[in-house]
This record gives sequence, C-alpha cells and structure tokens, in this order.
Amino acid sequence: MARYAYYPGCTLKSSASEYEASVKAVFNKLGHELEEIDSWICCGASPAHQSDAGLSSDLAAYNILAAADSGLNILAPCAACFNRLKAGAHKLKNDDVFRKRAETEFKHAAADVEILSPVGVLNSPDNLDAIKAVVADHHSELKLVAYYGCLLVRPPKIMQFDDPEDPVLIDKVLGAAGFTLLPWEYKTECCGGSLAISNRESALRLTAKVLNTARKAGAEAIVVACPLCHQNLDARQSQVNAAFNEKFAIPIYYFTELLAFAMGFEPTAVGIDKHVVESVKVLRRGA
Amino acid sequence: MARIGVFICHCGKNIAATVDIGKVVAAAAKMPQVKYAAEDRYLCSEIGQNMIIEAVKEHQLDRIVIGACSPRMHEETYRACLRQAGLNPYMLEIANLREQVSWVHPDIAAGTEKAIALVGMAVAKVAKNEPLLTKEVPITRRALVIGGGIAGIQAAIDLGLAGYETVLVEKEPSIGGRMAQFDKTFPTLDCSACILAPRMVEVSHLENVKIYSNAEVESVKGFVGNFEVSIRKKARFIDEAKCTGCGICMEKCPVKVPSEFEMGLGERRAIYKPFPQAIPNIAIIDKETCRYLTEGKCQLCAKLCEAGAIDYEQQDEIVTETFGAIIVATGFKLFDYTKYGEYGYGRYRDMITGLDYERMLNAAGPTKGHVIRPSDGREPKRIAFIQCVGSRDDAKGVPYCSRICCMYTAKHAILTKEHVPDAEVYVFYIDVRAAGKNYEEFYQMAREKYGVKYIRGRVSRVYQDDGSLMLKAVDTILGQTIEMPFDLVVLAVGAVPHESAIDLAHRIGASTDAYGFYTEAHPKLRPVELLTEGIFVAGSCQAPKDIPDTVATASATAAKVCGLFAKAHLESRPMISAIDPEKCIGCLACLAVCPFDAVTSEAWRGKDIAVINESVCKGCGNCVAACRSGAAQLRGFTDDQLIGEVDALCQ
Repeated sequence: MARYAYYPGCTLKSSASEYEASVKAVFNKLGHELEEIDSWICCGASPAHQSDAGLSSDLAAYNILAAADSGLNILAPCAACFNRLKAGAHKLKNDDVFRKRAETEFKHAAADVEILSPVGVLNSPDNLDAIKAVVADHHSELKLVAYYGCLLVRPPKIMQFDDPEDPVLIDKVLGAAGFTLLPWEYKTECCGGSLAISNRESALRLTAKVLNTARKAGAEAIVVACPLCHQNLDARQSQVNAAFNEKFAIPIYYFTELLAFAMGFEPTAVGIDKHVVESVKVLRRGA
Repeated sequence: MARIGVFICHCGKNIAATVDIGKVVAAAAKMPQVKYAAEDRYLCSEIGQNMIIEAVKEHQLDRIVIGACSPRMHEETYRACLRQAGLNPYMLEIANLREQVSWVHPDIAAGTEKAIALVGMAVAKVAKNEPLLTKEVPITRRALVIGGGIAGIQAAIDLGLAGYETVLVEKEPSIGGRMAQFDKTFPTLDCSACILAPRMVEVSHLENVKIYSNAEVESVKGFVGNFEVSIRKKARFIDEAKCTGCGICMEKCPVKVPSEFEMGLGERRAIYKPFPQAIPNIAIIDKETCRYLTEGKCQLCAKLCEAGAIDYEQQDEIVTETFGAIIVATGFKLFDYTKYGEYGYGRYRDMITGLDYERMLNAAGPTKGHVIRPSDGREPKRIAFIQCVGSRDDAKGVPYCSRICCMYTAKHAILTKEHVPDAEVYVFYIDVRAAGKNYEEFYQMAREKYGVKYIRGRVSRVYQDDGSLMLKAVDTILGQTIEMPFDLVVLAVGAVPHESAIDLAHRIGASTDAYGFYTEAHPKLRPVELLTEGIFVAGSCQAPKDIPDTVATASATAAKVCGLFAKAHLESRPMISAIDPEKCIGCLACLAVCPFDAVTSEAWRGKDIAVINESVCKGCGNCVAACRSGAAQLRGFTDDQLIGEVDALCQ
C-alpha cells in the first residue's frame, strides 16, 4: 500500500479525463492512495520551455515545492507533466543558485521529492505480482503495439527512464495483465504533436506514419501513456483519413484503461467510450 | 669545503617575467659555500651550457645548482653538461623556478622570495651530494614481438634480418592479423592477401625468427636488457612437427560452426585452418566444439590423418625465455556496434560491419565475392555506408576518430560499384578524412569517377520496413531530411584495442589511456616507446592507424631495438637504494614493502641482512621509509641531504 502526491495536470481534468479515471481505478484496486496536490498549477509543458526557460523551471519548481510538505513522491500520469517535473527536479538538485532562488521565491524548502510515472510505478515487482493476481482470468486476443512517444524517455540524461531507443515498460506491464503486445519499430518516433497548430500538414503526415506503421506491424490498436499522443492519434485520426484518403479505424487506449478493463471495470466506468475512434466494441471483441 | 656554482635561467620571458632574476642571483651568491652565481637567458642552449663549463674551469667549481625549468625537461641536458665539464653528473641539483614558481605565482615579489627559497634548498642539498657511479648491466640480445599482424611481422623481419634472435607470439592460430581478412587495400586497391602473404612467408622462413602461434604472453618480469617472459603455448591438439597441412581432416569433420575469420558469414569445422594461406600451415582443433573433446565421440580426423598428427591429449605448454627488448603490436578489433539502439541493437541481418563487407567482397570469401543481402541472398541495389559508428561519438564513450574508416568506406563504395555496376551507393558522413598520400585523389575518384553519393549528415535512425532498412538522416548541405529504404547497410565501425592487450598492459606495467590504447612515452617525440624502458609499441594498439603508418612504426621499433642491442651494455640507475650492512638488523621490513621484488636476504658476517638487486631497484624509497635502523638510504636522496634542504628552508 503506497501513497502518492497526485499531480494531474490540465488535460487529465479535461480532454484526458479517461486517463485520470483509469489511473485512479487501477491504483485504488491495487490498494494505493492518490492524494491530489492542493495548490498545483500548470506545469508549462512544451509551450513554456520553448518560449521561456526561466518560467518553465519556475513552474516545475513551484509544483514540486508545493508537494514537499506531504512527504510523498509525486505521481504524474501525463508524460509532458512528468517530463517537466523531472527536469525541474533535476535542476533543483544540481543548480544551487536556482534552488536557493526557488526556495526564497516560493517560501518553501526543497525536499528530495521523486517524480514518478504510473508506467514506472506499476512495473515494480510487487505491483506486477498484484496485477497478475487481480487479472488472473483475463486474456485478450487484441493485437496491440505500445507507442511511447518522446516525452517519457527523452532527454535520456534527465529522464533516465527505460531504454530511450527501445523502451519496454508499457509492454511489460500489459503483458503481465494478459495482453498481446507486438514488437514494432516506431515506439518513439515523432507524431508531430507539437506542430499540430503551427504546421498542421507535417503533423498529420507524421501521425499518419505512426498509424500506418502500427497497421503494418499487424496491430489492431495502439496503447499510449500520454494525453497529447492520445489526442493526436485518436482525435485527429479522421483528419488523417481525410488528408490521405485513408480508412484508419484504430482505437487508441491509455495503458491504464486496458489494465482497468482487465481488472473487471466496465469500459464506460473509466471513460473508454469518450474516445473519438470507437474503442469499446473492439475491446470487448478481443476479450 | 664544497665549491658550488649557481646558474639561474631567464627561460626567455617564461621565468624572467614573474621572477626578479637579478635578486635571485644576488641572494645565491651570498649562500654558504657558493663560489659563483650567474644568470643566462637560455641556460639549456649551447651558449648557456658553455658558460657553465667555462665557469666550472675558471672557479674550480665541484658541484652545480641550476634554477630553471622542471627537471623533467632538462635534467639529462644538465647532467651531460656536467660530464662535459669533467664533473660527476650527479653533483647537480635543479630548482624548478618555472613550473613551480613563475607559471603559478603572478606576484613578482612573492615569486622571487619563493625562488630564492628553492635555490637555497638546492644549494643546501648539493653541498651534501656525493659522486654516484653506474654499473654495467648485460643485455640479452633477443627480441620478443607480441602480436603477429603486419606490425609484428614487419618488426620481426627487420630484427631477423639484422641478425637478432626474435620470437613472434600470436594469440590466434595463424599470423596475419586484420590484413589477412581484407579484400583490397586503399589507395592502390592492391589485393591485401597478395601483399601480406609474401611477408608472412618471409618471416616464417627467417632462421633467426621463431613463431609461437596460438600462444599468449602470461607474465613479464625483469627489466630492460633482461626481461623474463612466460609464454603459454595453448594446445592445438595437433602435433606441429607431423601435420603437413593437407586438409583432409577439415573436409570430413562433421561439426560445422561459424568461422571467426569469415566474421560469422561463413563456416568452418571443429578442426580447421583459419584461412588457406595460414602460417603456420597447420590445423587446430577447437576444443569447445570438437565432438571427441566434448562428448568422447567421433575421432574421424585421427582415423583419416595419414601423418598421425592428431593428439587429443595435448596440453598447454608454458615456456619461459629471456629477452632484451619487447615490442607490443597487438593491433585492434572492431567497436561493438550493437550498442547503438538507434540502429537496432544489432538485430537487423542486412546491417553489417565494414569488416564483414571485406569478407563479402573477397573472391575467396563466404559469398565468393558476391555482394548479397544476408537476409535473403538477393543482390542489393541500393546500399548505404554509415561513417563514424563507434567513433567521434561522446554519447557512446568513443570521442576519438578511428582514422581509417573514411578511406576504407571510399574503398568499399568503389568496389561496390565494380561488383554491382547499377547499384546506388550512398555514404553518410560527418567529415571525410583523407590525409595520406594519394588518399584525397582516391576519395575524389569515388565521387567523380564512380558516382558514389556522399551525403553530409548522420543517420539518426535505422528501422525495418518490410524487407528494407529505412534510414532517417539529414542532408545538412541541402538542408533536407532524408527517409529512404536501403537493401543493405554497411557500418564503418571504429577501432578499439583488444581486451587481452589491455590486460597485458597491466601485467607488463604499461599505461593505457581511457580507451585502452597503449600510452606512448611522449605523444610527439617518442611515439613508439613506452615509459617502461625496453618496451616499444607499434601499430594500432597505440592508436588506430592505416597500413603505411603501421609498417612505419613497426620498423621504427625494430630500429630502436637494434639501437639498444648495439650497445655493449646498459648502465644501471645510480639513484637507487643502498643498504649499509653494518646497520642492517635483518628485520626485512624493506622486503615486505618493495613493489619491485628488488630485496633479498643474504648472510653477511654471521647475520642475515637485506640486499638490494641493483638492476631491479627503481629507487622509489619505500625501503628507506620502512627501515627502522636507518640502514637503507636512497643514493642521491639520503636523509642527511633531505634534512639539509628542510633546514635551509626553515631559515
């Protein structure tokens, strides 16, 4: 039984509400507690660090120091929040000048707070055992590929998370829950997400490549651990179809949605019906 | 009464800019037993040295203090100067006024004060110096060459022809090294085996040269002129005297395994010769895969061998021989490219290394010279060569340039066009380094005559797409991204030293750098010697190099060895430990602390005392520190002399 300072970030409260619902369902089922950080604010994600490095660091530091009182480590399901918080933690640890300033500015002493992702946490030996026990009867025929995106694993020196060229943690935890994950070559290739507004053409082209490669690998669905990956691959799939005269109908699942389903939760209970691409029937069919 | 001469050097502006030389000379002139003090702009020059020699004569000086640069620079120079002046060369002390004063203290007043203090210490010490004499050390005029590639072979030939007994030790079953595996050599496109084989034959026929193949050096003891080396001759399970190299055994052996010589692209048997021109031309049984040696079955080779040369009971043999000089020429192997996650961690069959490609191009190789895709055997029509895989890459811990890859890739590109004229050949590079003779012209020929497409940009990712390998790269000259399918990808993999060579370095007391290459005595002026006297280094084990440089360094080491052997005898170090037998109580604490095994125990006037082997002693001083009775003293650094320095400093 573990407790975490829960950092949702903006999307988990809005466009990625199903990710929050499924994370909470899975963690509660395994007996862990998530305590939402009281005064959390925006992490800045890509817009902040692209336009103002100082602001970006400060946002991360604020959130980390806000959680410090609880004495708990931070759990951040969104890959972008995870990435920014880790970068902030790295800076607090290694940049003395920055740490002193942040402590003065936000009136709080820095503590040794670890930034965690549910992808990493659920792969601990204890959690894997617990998952196997809970999903004992579950087996799915659905052919999946895991798309890790960029923020979970890069830059390798700061993220120190899984293998940056060939990550396996999502595959591992879903494998333990009885799902079939296919090997494929596109685990960390760019989906064009950050160009969605400024260069829509390129973004669609790159997203189409991810979908196409998944299909070629024999996948019926793609698993992600990031709200922006999800948005791009799911919400934009119809735009990709229109732009490239394609007929993709590939459901995009958060890995925790699949875990929740395997644990016995109804798809609608964790928001799988909220996806743009039809995802509920496909899931039931494979079960 | 001593008659000390003190000479302070300006070293141009190196010392004079931050030390008041005049003040130092004036202070020195007043120091006890100093009869003469002077200064010069460049004391190490001929003018400077002549001044010292003149002063010695004129003022009957019997010992000298020099205030100048570090003794590491010119100690030998000044010792020679003293010899010329008719003085014992050890009646010298050097105060380092450059590295230890001028270069580190910008404050002139403080620097000058320190300079005077250091000169004072040197004066106090030299006053107590005694003349030291060297002894003659005999030289065993036999040379050991470790490594039987082209470097070792060349060195052995040079030494054999010079008339010196030479032993060539090679860890593989045949000599020849990497050159035996190449197809053609740049820039002439000579067939590699055709230029190597005559050398292999020559070295094996030289009367003076003995080859120990399938053998490794186990230990090296001793010192220059007298190295005692143990060599393990590993069992071949073949009687070398009987085997005729006829090859019947290897035709019929039922066990087939990947051939190391063919880089795994072809097979060999459990009993085999590594390649047809192997020297010695003798078979060897691989004890890991031979059915008889692992399971007790078969023995077909023994039944077929008409010479009765098979000997399953053969054991490793250790021989110990004495040598006067050692040449290390252990060569290189390839960087393990499977570390590159961006290139698939080694799981793509159609991704091979440059050395794999040499075997493929070779008409006597596993594909009979046909360029094929290992996955399906088809001829590739679009081939990519990726430079700098495992070189110039900080992220993988190999920031250095491996020097030979730009040239061997240009060669591969040209040969590809010759073998597959309608192939599209791409080379992805960072810079093209073609610095040798006729190298630039060779590279330009690849571009202009053969139409090889050179793209300036690293390949960031290779992945499988159906049957092709997709490359993601950037053409930095055009400013465009590239994503193209290729049928075959050849990696120009960097050169690294063998692990066994790094291990050997530790056993012979040689230094290696961060990557395991042997550290030369001086990077500019002593590139083929190690800091250990009597041990020399040639070829790529010191740093990656092409064949001409390898042969040049090999001959250079042979010349150094000849120079060593041409001396009548060596001179021992004089600044070594001396044990006063009267004072020694025989506790042997010195023996326990000596790192060089230079102390033994002998009987003397009815008691056991410690005795120093003057040929081995390096003068480290451990025994002096350990000695309770003050019997052990370091010649040239006695307690008396050192205390004299401290006293002078504490004035």
